[in-house]
Amino acid sequence: MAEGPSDAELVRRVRDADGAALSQLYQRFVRPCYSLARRICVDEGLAEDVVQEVFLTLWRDPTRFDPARGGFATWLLTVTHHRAVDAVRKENAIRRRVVAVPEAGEDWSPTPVPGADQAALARVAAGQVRAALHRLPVAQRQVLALAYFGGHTQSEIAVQTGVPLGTVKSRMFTAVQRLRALLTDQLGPDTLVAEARKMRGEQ
Amino acid sequence: MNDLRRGAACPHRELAVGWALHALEPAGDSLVAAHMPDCSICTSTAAETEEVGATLGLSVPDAIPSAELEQRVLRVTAAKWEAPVVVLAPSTSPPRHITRWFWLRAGGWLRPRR
Repeated sequence: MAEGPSDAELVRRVRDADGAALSQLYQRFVRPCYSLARRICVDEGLAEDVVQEVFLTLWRDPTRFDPARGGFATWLLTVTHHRAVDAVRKENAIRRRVVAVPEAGEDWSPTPVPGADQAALARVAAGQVRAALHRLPVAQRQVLALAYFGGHTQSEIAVQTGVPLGTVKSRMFTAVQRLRALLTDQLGPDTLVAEARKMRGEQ
Repeated sequence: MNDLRRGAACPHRELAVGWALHALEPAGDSLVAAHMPDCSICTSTAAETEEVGATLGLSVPDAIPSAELEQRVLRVTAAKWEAPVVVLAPSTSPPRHITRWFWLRAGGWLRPRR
């Protein structure tokens, strides 16, 4: 488990232009950020460009992180997600048009990395999230996967799935609502991201 | 109980979820961005959605970036503050720069500028 200053303390030091603090945050978060960018972008080079831009954003304007709105990990992963989606849209990659809804036993289990107990913990955490996802109705899981991992807008999803835009919006809202409830029950009373990071051995 | 579960009343709640997932078209995105500062319900809804999204983000297969990525980040962040040193104060070392020199030297790749 990681010791040392909290994420918030390191961000405060980045505001004072402390490069060592940025380096610590990089070491702490680069893998989850890269893993997410890689999942969305598929292309490794594009994913690394995204991660570079994310940390550059943090360095240039650390005040974008508002502790009052949530935890740093949530903010950084949200920035990573949005930048990765932007990159994919910009690239207009064909592969993002064929994102499949993960099914039971499919590739949502983390790939083992050599010699890492962390990988086992990550598999447990991912398994919890996957189990929660699979308790959602397929239609809700589909819109969530197409938006979050596929980078599609609600309008695009409506066209692809052949349902009205209003239905896509309500399905997405309900999917998030139910998933949050399921994850809170499974991961515990603390914030979801903090619990997930603990299970990955990152905190 | 959070706003998502409570079903708090605001006609833009569904849009707030789409906004937090970066799934709106530009027009909807602008609408929510303008609405958010005045609506605690949508602000809370977006924050909770981002947390769910980040949890999804932590569930993906673990991937390891190349060793060059850290150097690329270091290089770009270094360029931001090095320029003023050359132009404005080549013979002094303001405190703001010291920590970055320390970090960059610790990374073992930066060579001192002439």
